[in-house]
Amino acid sequence: MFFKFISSILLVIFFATYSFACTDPQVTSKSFTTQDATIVAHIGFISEFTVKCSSGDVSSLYAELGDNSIVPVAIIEKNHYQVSWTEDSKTARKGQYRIKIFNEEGYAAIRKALRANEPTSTVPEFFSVIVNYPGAYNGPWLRSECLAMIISVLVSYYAISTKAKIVS
Amino acid sequence: MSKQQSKGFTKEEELLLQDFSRNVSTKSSALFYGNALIVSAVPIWLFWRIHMMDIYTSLILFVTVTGISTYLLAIAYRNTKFTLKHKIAVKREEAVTKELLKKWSDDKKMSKKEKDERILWQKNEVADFEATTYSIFYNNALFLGIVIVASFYFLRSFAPAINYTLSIGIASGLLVLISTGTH
Amino acid sequence: MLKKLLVVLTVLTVGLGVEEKSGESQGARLLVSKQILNRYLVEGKDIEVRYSIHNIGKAPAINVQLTDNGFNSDAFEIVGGHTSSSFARIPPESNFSHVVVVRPNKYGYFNFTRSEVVYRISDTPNAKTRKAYSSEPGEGGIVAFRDFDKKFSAHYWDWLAFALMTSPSLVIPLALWYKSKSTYEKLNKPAKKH
Repeated sequence: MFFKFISSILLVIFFATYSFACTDPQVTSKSFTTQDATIVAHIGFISEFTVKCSSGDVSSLYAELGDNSIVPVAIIEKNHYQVSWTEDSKTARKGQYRIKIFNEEGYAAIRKALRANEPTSTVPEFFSVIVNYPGAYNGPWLRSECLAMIISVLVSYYAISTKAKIVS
Repeated sequence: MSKQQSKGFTKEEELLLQDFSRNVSTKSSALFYGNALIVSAVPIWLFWRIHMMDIYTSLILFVTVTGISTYLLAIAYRNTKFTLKHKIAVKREEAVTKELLKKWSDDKKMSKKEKDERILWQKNEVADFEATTYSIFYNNALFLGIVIVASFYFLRSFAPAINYTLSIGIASGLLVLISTGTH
Repeated sequence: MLKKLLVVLTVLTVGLGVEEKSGESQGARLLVSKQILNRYLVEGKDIEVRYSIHNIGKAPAINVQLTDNGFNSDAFEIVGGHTSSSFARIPPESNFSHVVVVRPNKYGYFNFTRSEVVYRISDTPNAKTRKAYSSEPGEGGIVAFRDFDKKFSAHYWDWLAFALMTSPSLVIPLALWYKSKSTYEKLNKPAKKH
């Protein structure tokens, strides 16, 4: 009887602190990247995602970015999140970026691994989201005035060399 | 030009005849000036559309520069034509003679003197035509080339009006210098 | 004008929190800088706004509310990210950024104002709430799309038209010369062979 009482108190305490951990998260995400690099010096990467749990709640989330930094995930509204960062448009890699998302537990495990100087890659992520960067427009690859100059130099060269032949 | 002898022309006389058109005929002159005007005026398009010059406020500048450039280009055409004409005449002599002799192979009536005269005239015509057309092409190509490279490379950071005046001025001036230099 | 605008925008002043009180110095302290990352501000084109958040305090900032009311929906369309967001916990000595992309639908001068951040200075239950402001990017001129396009477009059609206008003056004399030249050179050649 007493034992039961204690255990139910423990259970209450457990639920009070951890609430119900999210199980079986369903994640839908969409991403945004800057398309026109002629007016912006940095490419903005934005991933927005919603998480639906079959039961329980999502604890605070953290994301691991490409440079291995761990950043807090922005909460837009309940179960709706945003992760964003910028990269120099000259060095930004084209293609898919896989961003690992960790929950409170995973974040604690990463901190522990970092303190112990162990690799963080072994820590399992809660889920991950994909940001696709198809590349940005950097202006025309050959500016028209360059093309015009090349053509006019070629035509002038032809005119001069042919004249030399006539005069010879 | 009435002292032709049965032996044909001396070298001097030949040159004299070839040079007969040095006093450019009005037709040829009109051709030169017309061409020069068109080519001088066309770059205005670039300065209007790409260098963003206002067409109405710059009208006086456009007209003045186009006028000067037309005059200079016409001189360049003429000078280049004369340098080319002699060279072309020498090169065409054989072919022109052959062409005409073939044409006259049945005609026994024509005197040698007349034939020579006709050949010389034809040679002169061919050389004149080729020199004129090539001179126009040559100067147009160089004019446009210099204008484009000057205005979009060397003078691109200048104010459009200065860029325009300088690039057209340099192009037409340079062509006159080149054409007189090799004369 | 555009260069001047860049200078204005890149001047980065870090917003400071409300005045420090003794005893609170152990808590979280957020510095937020709001930057416009654009080279040019153009009507209808992306403006990238980056909020760099730096917790220089010794404790985590809890329940951080980052709000930027500077982009009203009349003048701007938000195309990526959100101007109002919150962070459950920002660990001490960490920094990260939050990005929002907006598109102005008008041109002219616009004052980019500071944004606001509200947070609890530690995770103890009775921790105080602090309100702070980000740096202010200041005024920037948004260029009309038409002017930008005129100045920066590749002018393909203008060049094509130029090519069409100039080609007769090159092609016609060259063709006439070439025709005459090749007929007479043909006449010459058989003679050399025989």
